[in-house]
Amino acid sequence: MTIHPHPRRPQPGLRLAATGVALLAAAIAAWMYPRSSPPAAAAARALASDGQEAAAVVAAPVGDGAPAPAPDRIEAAGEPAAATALPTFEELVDRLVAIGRRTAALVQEDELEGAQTSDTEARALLGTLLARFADAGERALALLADPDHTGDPERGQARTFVLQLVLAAELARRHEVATVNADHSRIEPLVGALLGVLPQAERTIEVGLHLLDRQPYLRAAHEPAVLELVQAASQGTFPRPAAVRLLSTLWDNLRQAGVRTSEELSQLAMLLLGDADPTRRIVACRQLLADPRLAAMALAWLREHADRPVAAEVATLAASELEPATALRVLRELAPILDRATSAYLVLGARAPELVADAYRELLAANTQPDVRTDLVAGIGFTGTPTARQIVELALANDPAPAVRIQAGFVLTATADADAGEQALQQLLDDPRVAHDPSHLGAIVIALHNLEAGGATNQIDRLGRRLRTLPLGESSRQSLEALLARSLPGGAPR
Amino acid sequence: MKPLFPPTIALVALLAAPLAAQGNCPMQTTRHVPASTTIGPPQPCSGADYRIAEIEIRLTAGMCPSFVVYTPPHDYAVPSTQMTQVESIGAQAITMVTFRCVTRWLLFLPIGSTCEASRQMNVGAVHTLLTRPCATPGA
Repeated sequence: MTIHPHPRRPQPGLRLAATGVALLAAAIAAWMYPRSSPPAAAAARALASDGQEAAAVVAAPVGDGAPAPAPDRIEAAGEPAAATALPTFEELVDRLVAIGRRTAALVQEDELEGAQTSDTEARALLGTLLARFADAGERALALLADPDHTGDPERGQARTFVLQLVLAAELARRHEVATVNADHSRIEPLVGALLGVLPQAERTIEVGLHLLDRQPYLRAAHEPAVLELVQAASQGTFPRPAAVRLLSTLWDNLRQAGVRTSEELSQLAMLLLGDADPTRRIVACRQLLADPRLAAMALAWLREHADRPVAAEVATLAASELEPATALRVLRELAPILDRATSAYLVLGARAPELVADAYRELLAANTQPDVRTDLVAGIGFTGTPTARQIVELALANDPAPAVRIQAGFVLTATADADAGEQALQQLLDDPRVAHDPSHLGAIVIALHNLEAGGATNQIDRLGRRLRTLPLGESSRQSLEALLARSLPGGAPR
Repeated sequence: MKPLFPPTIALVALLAAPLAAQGNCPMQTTRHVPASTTIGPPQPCSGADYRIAEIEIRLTAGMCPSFVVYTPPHDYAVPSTQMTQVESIGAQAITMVTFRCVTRWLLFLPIGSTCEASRQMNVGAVHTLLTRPCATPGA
């Protein structure tokens, strides 16, 4: 989620009043938000430094199209009696959750007009909440750390989303103020507190990652807290992928902010390559692979140390993050220490199908690296592109490696019609190298399961009869019999 | 007449047997790979841009992966110094679940869309391997 401050629109209050659904609160909220002009920034600073209810607000939104009522103006500062009349932060969050669920119900009943009105009401109320509570981030964090106790999972999920939204907005506005004023004293503690809450539960990890990953909020001040999470990951008390993403984001931010140069980070990465903690080694490899001067060194290090667990994670990171041609080069370089990297090639194929297709053609022509060819066929095969079918048929007809051709069988049974899937598997069974190898036959049985989803009874029947006569391993034979029992009338081939 | 260099011939014969055995033995062992899950590229979900007051909230990718791949625990063969070979004793499916973003609710909140599994398929196979001693000649 990203949040982008917009320049102020002309006369927002009038526009909202004309629609009959907005509140004066929304106008005030608009006024309160940080903008790029110096007076607006000053207003935002005042809001940010207050930490208390700081504005005249309207708490009760309307959504019935009636003219907006006159606001109840309440002065928070110096008027504690009036302030107590306002709903609390938690009550506003609960109200947002309730509006959200009501909107959902309206949509499900096809009451789209009512849903739109309800949705507008929710937007206005969130604007009110953000305008009223300069410490909305801290308050949201406190509620996030405290799970919903109602026992209603849907309500708990909606509440988490509302809190995440509040935190995202709060981080965005504090970052804006911090950037304009070169003063991070308001955002850094909130980010620090978020990092502190992160390990509490799966829910907080998910929200925290969503808010911090690839965002500019992690800074040098947070390095100790991030490294603590890395340490927790090495002890198995915090998920390693989350730690990798946070440390990677921190390093990216440090480089972009000029706190550390690429040179310094690469030097640190080279030191961390030898670290006992895999999380640090993964982040170190990510840093080095992004540096064209040092990528070859990182790959050589991985090969030399046969660091398969790290290589597997680096392969996935490379497939997801690096420029596709670079990612492909990394995957091919890592092939000697990875038995297979199917999932990484699936990710890369989704990003750059033509690149993967070209790589397959090249390796097929050279008749090298059959394991990589297998993964390339998987990578392109499931993309659903026209090239995918061409490559898969090319592999099935021409590739000399049975494993590659079996991979083509997987693609066709999963993505083509039942007859094409059956034809592919029959063609594979015609090859004695496949038909006499229990290992290959085990893979064929697994591919046959793909036909079950399409209800291909006749095709399963014919293939089942043929497979029963072949030297299947015990577990494959059991799997085949279970499939036949489920799929065929009478539970057996005719 | 004494046979020529009988100890040498015996030594050669002694050495030749294991060498021949080694020639037929792939000298491999297994290495275990734990289960893993890989998340595919995110697809736009809850992707509409919403405005609240002066702030635009863009609920972009990251909410819904295009697919998730599960690779079960398995083994692969690596070179060994021992006279051993590996044998597949079972195949397991590499499973891919694809997701789609279903917009149900016209909310500005992310719960306005849901990321739902749309299809599960077997996209490949991995094997459970067993290491066995290579058969010795004459055994």
